[in-house]
Amino acid sequence: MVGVFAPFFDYEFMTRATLGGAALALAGAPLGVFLVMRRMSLVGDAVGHAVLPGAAAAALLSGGSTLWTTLGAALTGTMVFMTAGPASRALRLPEDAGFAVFYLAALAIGVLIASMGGGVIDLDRLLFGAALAIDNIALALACIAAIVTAIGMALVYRPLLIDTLDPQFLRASGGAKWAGPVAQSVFFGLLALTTVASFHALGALMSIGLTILPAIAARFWAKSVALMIVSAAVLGIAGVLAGLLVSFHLSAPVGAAIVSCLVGIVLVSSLFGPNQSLLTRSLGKASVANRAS
Amino acid sequence: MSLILNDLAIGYPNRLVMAGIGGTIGAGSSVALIGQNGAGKSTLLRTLAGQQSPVSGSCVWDAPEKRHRSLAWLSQSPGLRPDAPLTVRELAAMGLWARLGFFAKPCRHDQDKIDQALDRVGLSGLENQQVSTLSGGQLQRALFARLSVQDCGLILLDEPFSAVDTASQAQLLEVIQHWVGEGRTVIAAIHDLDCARHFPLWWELSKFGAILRRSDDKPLSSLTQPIRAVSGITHPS
Repeated sequence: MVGVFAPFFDYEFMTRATLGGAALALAGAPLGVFLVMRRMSLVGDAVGHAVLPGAAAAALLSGGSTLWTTLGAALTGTMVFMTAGPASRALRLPEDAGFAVFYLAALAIGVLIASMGGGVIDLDRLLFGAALAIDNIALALACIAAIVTAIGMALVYRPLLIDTLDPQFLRASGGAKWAGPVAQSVFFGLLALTTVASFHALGALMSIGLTILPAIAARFWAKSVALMIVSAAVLGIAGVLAGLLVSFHLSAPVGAAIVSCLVGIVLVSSLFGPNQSLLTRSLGKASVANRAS
Repeated sequence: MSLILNDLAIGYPNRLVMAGIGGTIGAGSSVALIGQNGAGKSTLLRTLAGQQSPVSGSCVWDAPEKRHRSLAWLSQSPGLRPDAPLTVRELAAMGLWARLGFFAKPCRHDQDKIDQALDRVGLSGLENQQVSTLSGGQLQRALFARLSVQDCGLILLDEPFSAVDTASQAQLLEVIQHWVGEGRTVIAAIHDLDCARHFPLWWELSKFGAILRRSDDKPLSSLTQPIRAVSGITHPS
């Protein structure tokens, strides 16, 4: 049994991937919980895709340097995120339609740029990540994302929570008028940072997975927001460990393995979790029926 | 402490709803804002609440004591997400936000205030229940508890009884009485005239303008001056 876990200790690349993945799961937990509560899961996904053109262009120009790729990814990710909302309003598109246009455009342009390199750029790596080849810069970025996110979310937690659950109350209740916009800006800034940090490990297509999937699963384990964040962090780390093991023992692509494990966690949670899962709801119905009879 | 309306015009940039509203509503008044659909009740309340700016003129809530200077507003459609992962107590505690801000911890006194507010709306036993499991009437009572915790001098309610049963309505009316007894001013938009009879003052919006009168048709007290404007709905030229 112990042998199954041996790769974590025997191979440095597994240790590094574990550290990076755990840091990203910690950063993603509070962000994902708030994204899900704000019904913005898919917007997060769109931003994840939007990092591709910048990352591809920077990789092409710099010959694949991690630092430049990260900066390029951050640039286009932020640009799409800042412009998609206002642009869809100006063009009278529904906001989700605007995001769809922008992220598809970003993906297409990214792939076109990457293909211009004539094989210099590893498109697979940009799209799907390389968690096992995570270098010092990417690992440091993941750790910074975890620390900065924890501090930033703690600072704006209260107004962000009210803004998420009852935005009208936050505007009308006589508190500081700037609290809502500041909390939102901090939140989306942290989301951009974590998405870019996740990009190296999971690639443009799945970078938001480590943020959003544990948060979706956490709803079936906890009732309060604070406990949801803790559950999301634990489930996220569990998904990373499981994904790395599956990838190692079955020689599967690591990003896809991690995301598959996280999806599995969501599935199991929604069926058997203690809060509002299919099982507890059917048990609840059965006990009501028993009392009635 | 009074609400002073000075030649107030309400509406939207391209649609004036009502102009020339002026007068004073004194502290401790409980006012039913009545009128047909589209008469401008919600527009007036939103303007008083500072949620939309007046077309012209001004409305000022003038309170000498700092703690009564803010106002509370409950809109017709609650902004609270129906699946919000909050307990009843956490929802009521949200009312402390304006005073506590980002970081301050609620003190013993604040906790007592929340307890009293929940007790008054009859939700004492349900403090730890999730708001998503409440009935419409219970949710409205929880929102009233949050209004109590906000501790404001002026409380604006938009159709507060539209989604509640008779028992909850009676309880909410008692809470309003209590607020008025504490010297707060309550203005509630109400479409049901039977319900509006529980309020001593009526502020009637119609094509003749905004007219403040007593629901029993006796003369107004000296504290509360008649709303003067009878200029009615002015159509944009």
